[in-house]
Amino acid sequence: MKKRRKHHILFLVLICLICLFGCSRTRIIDKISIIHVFGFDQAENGELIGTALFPDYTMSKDGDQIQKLEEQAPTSILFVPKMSEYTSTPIELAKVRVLLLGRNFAEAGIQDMVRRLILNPQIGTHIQIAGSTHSAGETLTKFQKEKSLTLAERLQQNMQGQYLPYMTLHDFLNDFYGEGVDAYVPMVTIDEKDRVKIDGIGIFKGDKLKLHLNPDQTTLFSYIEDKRTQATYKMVLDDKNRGEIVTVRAFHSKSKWDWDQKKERINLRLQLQMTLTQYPDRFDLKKEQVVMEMKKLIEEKLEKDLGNLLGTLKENGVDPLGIGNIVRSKDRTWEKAAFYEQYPTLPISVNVDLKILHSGLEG
Amino acid sequence: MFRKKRVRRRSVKGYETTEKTIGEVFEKAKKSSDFTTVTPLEKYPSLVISFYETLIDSKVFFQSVLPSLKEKASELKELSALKNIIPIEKIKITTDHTEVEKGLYDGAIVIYFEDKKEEYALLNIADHRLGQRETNDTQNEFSVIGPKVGFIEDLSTNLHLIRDHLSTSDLIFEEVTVGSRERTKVVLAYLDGVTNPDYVNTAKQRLKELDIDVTTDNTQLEQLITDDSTTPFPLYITTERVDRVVNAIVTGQVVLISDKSSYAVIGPATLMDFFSNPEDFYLPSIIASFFKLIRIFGMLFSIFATSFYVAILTFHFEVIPKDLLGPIIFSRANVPFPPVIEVLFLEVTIDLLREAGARLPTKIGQTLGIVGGIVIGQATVEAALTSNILLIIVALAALSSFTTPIYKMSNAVRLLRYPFILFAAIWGGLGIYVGLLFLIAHLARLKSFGAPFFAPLYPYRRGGVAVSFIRPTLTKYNKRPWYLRPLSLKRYSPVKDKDPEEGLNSE
Repeated sequence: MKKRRKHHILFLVLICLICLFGCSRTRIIDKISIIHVFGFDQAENGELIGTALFPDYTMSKDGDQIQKLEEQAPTSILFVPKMSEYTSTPIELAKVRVLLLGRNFAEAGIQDMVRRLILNPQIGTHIQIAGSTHSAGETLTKFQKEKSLTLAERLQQNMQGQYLPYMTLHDFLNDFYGEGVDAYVPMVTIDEKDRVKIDGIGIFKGDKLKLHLNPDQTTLFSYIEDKRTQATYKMVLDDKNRGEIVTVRAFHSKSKWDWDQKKERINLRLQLQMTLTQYPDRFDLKKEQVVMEMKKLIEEKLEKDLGNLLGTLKENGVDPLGIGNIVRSKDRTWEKAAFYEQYPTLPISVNVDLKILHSGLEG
Repeated sequence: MFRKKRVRRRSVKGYETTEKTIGEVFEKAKKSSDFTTVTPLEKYPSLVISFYETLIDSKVFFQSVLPSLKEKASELKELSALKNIIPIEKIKITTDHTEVEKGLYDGAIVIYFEDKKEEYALLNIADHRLGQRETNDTQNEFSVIGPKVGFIEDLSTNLHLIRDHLSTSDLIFEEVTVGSRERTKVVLAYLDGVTNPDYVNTAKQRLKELDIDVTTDNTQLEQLITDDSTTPFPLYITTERVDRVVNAIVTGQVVLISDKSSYAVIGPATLMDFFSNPEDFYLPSIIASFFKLIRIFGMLFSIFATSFYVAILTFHFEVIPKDLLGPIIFSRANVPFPPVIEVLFLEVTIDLLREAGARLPTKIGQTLGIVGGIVIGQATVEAALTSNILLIIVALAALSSFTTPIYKMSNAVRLLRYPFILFAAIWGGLGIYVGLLFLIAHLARLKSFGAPFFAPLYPYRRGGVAVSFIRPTLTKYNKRPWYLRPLSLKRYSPVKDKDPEEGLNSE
């Protein structure tokens, strides 16, 4: 009898469990609209414009039937309910792979969007965030015409093999909320032939987009920031002669920062391992002496260009490299306001230590 | 659901009809048409021979018993003289009528004088192999290399096979009779001085106190003496391979062999034993380990593949890679059912096919495979009842459930899928983990002859875990599993080779 009662209790508990948790709404895979790319823009009247791209896989296996939804709302949390008015299946944000910020929107400040939408637990942080030199809506329309959803891949492969520094939403949020460091995002642009391409990075100050670095500056930036970058850098030795070009491709880089508290200056020691992919014919690299000469030439050039880049960053008062954070880690008395007041005039000396791995083979 | 129930056994025995006197024994027997009574000698009409025609070896009866009786009839004054007359060893003279009755059923002929009904001579000339199959290839546990000898439905042949293989005086056969009506002979085989006597005593006690009228097979007997009769898992290994049984005896397990059954029962067994195969010991250790891992993976895949399909497609679409979204959604686009119905439909179809295939004669079975596999599979996808991808997953899951060497375990694995599918349909991924918790808790509670079934994983036993998943080289695998508490641990001690260091081929 006692045993039977025990069974009854177990059975009741099971029933309760099923009723309590078993009623969660199902999200059957072919009965939802899975958003792949989400773009944000600023409307004329200060409201937000959200643009979403989602493929209709029920029509085609390859996902070339791309639907676009564009919706204006006063706050980002209202996009999903408003967009749902147009779709036959519920909209799911959980598989967003790229968040695209339009230029106007990014310059006006993204604080609200980050707080309300990105911190939503549905959205993963291993996704891409990017800025657009045009409006996000415009860029996404181009993608819809291209019938491809490859923006995420386009960003990723440029981070792995080309000049973009490695960045995901996770890193972005870390920088965005981190002290003594400013966030940056890869930028995309629409070229003259109406195609979407990667175009450097955009650097935020606070929650507003402040500075846009061009590809060359981004390459130098990657050398400092990303230790596995494989960016190619071009140096022109003589403006008049086309043969006087040196190109190097990075293989491994290591940056060491030193804070000299007495003199209040920073030393950056950059150890680079590079491949010499192109050099003028007058250099005969079989001779060790010439190699040393070449090495010195490149080091000097890099030091100069890096100094210019740091100068640009200081001028604009942005700190995407996290110099403030580096100083903070070595100086107990660090204060944010005081540091950034003297940041534009902070002396930074760059010292490049180059190691040429091999030359000529890679094109 | 997973609660343990103890089988209660009654101590009172006996539903069989008991004959009071010898006269009643014969009277009852005479009702059967195969019971024969003859008076072979005209001079001595009182000498009577009674037997069941269907049980004795008629060749022996007509060629040696009758001629020698007739030749030396004159010397026959008393039954004890039979021992000198008839050239058969198994002659027994008794006055006990129950013994006479038992002898008759064992295939003996009873010789007695009609006028002196106190003494009976029992001559056992039973023909055990009458009606038995001749071939003893392993039918259901096949291996490519290694011996292919299996048991048949005859006790003495089976015992011969084991004794022939393991000729040591330590090998003990203990006979227990089971069944109040049938009196099946069950033999307990174990290695004296190795097997823990607790297991032998447990098995013997359970068999002796078992109250059943007829057991038709050893696998049924196994369920009657099992530690937990409600679990889907087999708690003992049932095998028809001689090499597996010999190996089990040597490692210190108890083996039950019963008459009229071609399956031996090995206990105490642990869960991971069910995924090893005698062939593991015939293949090199790396290859054997790989295949053992494949089998364990197959078991896990078979249980979880379709339930994960249900959970992911119903709740967690996020985990699907982007490039796979297209094919999955496209193939499901026209399916009107939710994933759980779709999966159940296909799983039941596969089980129907398997069941039909198992019951059909071999020749028709082949056609069924084609009809089931190709026609039904293709047609359901064409008719938009299931998706293409599910068809692949279900087929793979069915395939991997067949890799489990022991048939009973492969059935348990097949059954386990259904609760997991339902759990997944209700709670998604969480449901699978809830189910897994129930499953592990259940496994941890099971016992086989009182030894923990889930050992050495739980309770954790040092040194047993690696052996559960791989097969070590034979030089290292020289000890019996200590968690089965054998009386002697070491099986053999390998010696180092005495080759010169630079090899034999050096010049």
